[in-house]
Amino acid sequence: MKAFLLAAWSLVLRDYRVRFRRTLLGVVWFFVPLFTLVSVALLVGKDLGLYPEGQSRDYLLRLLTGLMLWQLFADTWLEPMRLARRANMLLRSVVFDARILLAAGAISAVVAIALKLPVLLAAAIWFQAPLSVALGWFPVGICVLIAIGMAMACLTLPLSLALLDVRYAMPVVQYALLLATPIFYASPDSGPLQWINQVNPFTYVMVPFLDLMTGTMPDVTAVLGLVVLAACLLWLGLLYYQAKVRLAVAYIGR
Amino acid sequence: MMERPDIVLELDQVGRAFPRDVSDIPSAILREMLWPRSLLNRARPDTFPALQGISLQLQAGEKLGVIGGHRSGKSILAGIASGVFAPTQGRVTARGSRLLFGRPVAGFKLSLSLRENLAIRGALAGLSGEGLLKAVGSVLQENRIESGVADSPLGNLSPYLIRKLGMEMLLQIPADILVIDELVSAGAGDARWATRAALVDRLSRSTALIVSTNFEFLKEVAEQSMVLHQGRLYGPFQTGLAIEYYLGRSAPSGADSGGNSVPDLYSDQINSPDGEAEETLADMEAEPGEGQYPPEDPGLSDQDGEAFQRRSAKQALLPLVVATRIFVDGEEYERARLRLLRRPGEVLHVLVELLPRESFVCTGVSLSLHSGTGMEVGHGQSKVRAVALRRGTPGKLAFQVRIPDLPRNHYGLAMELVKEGGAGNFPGPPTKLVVFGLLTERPREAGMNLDCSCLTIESDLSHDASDAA
Repeated sequence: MKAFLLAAWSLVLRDYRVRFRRTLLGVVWFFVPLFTLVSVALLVGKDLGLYPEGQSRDYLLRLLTGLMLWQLFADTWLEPMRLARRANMLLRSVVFDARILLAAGAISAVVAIALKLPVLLAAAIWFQAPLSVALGWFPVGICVLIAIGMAMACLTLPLSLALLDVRYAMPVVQYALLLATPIFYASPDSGPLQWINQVNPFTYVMVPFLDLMTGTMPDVTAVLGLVVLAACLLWLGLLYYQAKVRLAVAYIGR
Repeated sequence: MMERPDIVLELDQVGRAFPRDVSDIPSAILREMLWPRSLLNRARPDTFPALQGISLQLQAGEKLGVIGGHRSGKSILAGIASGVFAPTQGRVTARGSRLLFGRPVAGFKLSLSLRENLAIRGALAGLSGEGLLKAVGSVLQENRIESGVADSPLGNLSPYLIRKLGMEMLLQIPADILVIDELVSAGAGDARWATRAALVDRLSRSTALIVSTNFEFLKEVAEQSMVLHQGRLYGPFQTGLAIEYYLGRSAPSGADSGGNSVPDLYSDQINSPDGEAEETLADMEAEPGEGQYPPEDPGLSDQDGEAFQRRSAKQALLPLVVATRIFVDGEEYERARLRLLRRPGEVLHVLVELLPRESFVCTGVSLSLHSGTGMEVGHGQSKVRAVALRRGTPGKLAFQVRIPDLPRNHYGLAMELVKEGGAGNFPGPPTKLVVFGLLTERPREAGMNLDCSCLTIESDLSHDASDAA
């Protein structure tokens, strides 16, 4: 286990070093997408009706929480694919447990959220967010999102190695799902957007944890159901991943 | 599987199929990714077998060589044996950790330091803590790399040195089974000998499958070797003999002095039928008398080990039947000249005069079409009523094949006779028949299935399987 985690951590470090070696801002680039999205949402949100007059504080906290949780989920899902792409010759030439890639993706996502967490805490203190027991569910939310992200990575990584369509589609799909999930806006009561929110399964994954920072308690039954669902999905995903990833590796470079 | 405790690596009927054209047939990839493995066993027209029916066992401490030509499937075999790739058919069982010894600088990033690159390779191979530090330190120390150099970006170092250091790092990684994929030395000048010696030393203490075309190295480290030809593995033979037959050289002395080359479907010209026939007839002279079927492998009665090995190697690499004369559209086909030009949709009427190399009951014919690069581009199979073919007794095979719509190229048509109760003429390779040029304007690449009809086969000896019974 120690060697497994060390190998995963080595992959993450290698990736960070390669990514940030010739940059002036270094890890600050982690914050740029988050700050950009939040700034844009705050600037145009009122005109678009994303939040009502005088509720920008709650909206900002909810948006920050939502985007960070979404980024955690998306990183856990997509980071193994990026790592696999950047380490494709290692995959073709070195005998190692391919689950290291999944672990490395999850570690990378956790590091990213750990770097951003002070921003969220600072915002919560600045806006005097209520300190409630609801915050105790935050680690559960993180674990559920990591598990579901890993399961999605299990199901898509072998495909992305073998078929480039999957690799090209993933960023688009990720942004489409982000917009289809009520993070930038509250889910409306009717209309096509409400229908999209209802059809999108990630709505049910994100929404219970979105309002934690504002002191809203999540539905315990729904959260427990999510935990069980995430565990099952991860188990199925791992089965598929183990069966297919070494078949897919043969297509790297072809 | 692995009932014997001394077997540490076993490949059981392993196969790996790939889509014929990765870029044009994504559906084949999608099927491979989505379907359960049990449904991937069947051969399909849009896939070709890079490896088929590979079986081998490696005992603890054994060193087994594998020789093969370009595109014969060596690296895929090494990858599957080491666990880097997975097979689409069969099973690989290993008792112990495996290390693939190839591409020593794979995954190295020029922007990272030498120490970081070596450490990541060691960490992925399972080293950690003191073991990892010791391995990296040992490589740096033995090469007198100062810490300033070790911690500077890799791009400042010579590619030869990087490769040598990568190979030495691999030598530091502990593993129960080594799978060597062509890598036998690295570095420049005398350093190559040093790394080679270090590898030989490591091999002397290991169990290893050595996939290589470095024959001197193979002779030095492996007593026995197998020959990989067109995705099929033959042997094991003594390494010297395996190399000899791989290279197509004649035997140095003795009864088996006939010249035989490894059959090559990739070449534009087809082997001389006369040569094959002479060889087969020479073999027949040493056989038991007529009037009864000779044993399947007469070499089995030979007590002389080397002669037996020589004969086994030779026979394994020869087709099951020799085509002595071929008639295409009523005219005798001259193998030495590529004078057949055809268009898609036309029909080739082929009559083949056969000389079986062993006695068997034939129940069908499998035809395959190969492009100039050797890739199988078409396949078809037809059944016939069971016919007993006897070793050395001529027979005739007639069929028609419709030429598929393929790109303008030269194509070779080959056949395998299907034995009763078996698939193909394993262990022999296909018998090559004709090479023809294809004239086409707008190829649709639609001809994966060969349309074969009017198949008849007969033996001058008998006309019914009951004779064999």
